[in-house]
Amino acid sequence: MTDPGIVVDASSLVEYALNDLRALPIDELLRELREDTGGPVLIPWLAVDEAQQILGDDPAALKRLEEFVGAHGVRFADAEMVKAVDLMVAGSDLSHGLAHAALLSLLTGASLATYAAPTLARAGYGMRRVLDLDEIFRDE
Amino acid sequence: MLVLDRAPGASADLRRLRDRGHQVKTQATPTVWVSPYRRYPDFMRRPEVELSDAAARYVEEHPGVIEKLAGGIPDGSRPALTAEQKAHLRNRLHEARAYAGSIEGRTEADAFLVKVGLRR
Repeated sequence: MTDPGIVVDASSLVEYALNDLRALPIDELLRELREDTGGPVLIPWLAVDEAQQILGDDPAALKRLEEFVGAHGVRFADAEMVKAVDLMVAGSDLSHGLAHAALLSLLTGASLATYAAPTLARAGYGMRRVLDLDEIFRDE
Repeated sequence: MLVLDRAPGASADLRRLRDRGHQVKTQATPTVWVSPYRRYPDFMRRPEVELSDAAARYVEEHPGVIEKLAGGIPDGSRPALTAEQKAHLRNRLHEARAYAGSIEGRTEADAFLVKVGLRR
């Protein structure tokens, strides 16, 4: 069976770009995909946009983000997707990037890697396909 | 008049404008939360914190990690995840992948996609 890979949201992109301790789980997932399954990394355009805004004053992080996006490509949102994202955002406190990532995960079967899992849970999103990257840093 | 409450000192400016009788509106909280420590690095100071046992253990096992985080991590001296953390992540990835491919997972996905108009 072909591995559907992972989807990343803005929180993952930001932490990856900042390249500190919280980038480690993302590095590990990328290594797993590269060496084990060969699954793709899906990057929603709306999440890239948010990550760029957050990293606005950090050229080194922006460069790392740009390289990451260049290596994997982005998934743009067509009119139908934008409408669905708007619908999700209107009924919750999800950001556009997180909603886009969540929908891509549902459409492709890819697991959603995020540091914003509690926000998704509050929005009533099914959490079994979500990789809560913060989990490994929490108390057992 | 629209004033964006986005910079150190903006709250004082807003109060001043209100005192002068201006109608002041603040922008709603953005959907993407950015830590104030990151947004105003020269303005905010992190409070003294007491580390949880797990965090204290991690710092003990990885000497210098706090210093590295404060000043960025030089190449070649990055901290690493423990074997346990890596295994946990790998297991979660396999579980999530198995769920997404299961009948239950596909049914859940279809129902959600119908709800937001991406599937009929």
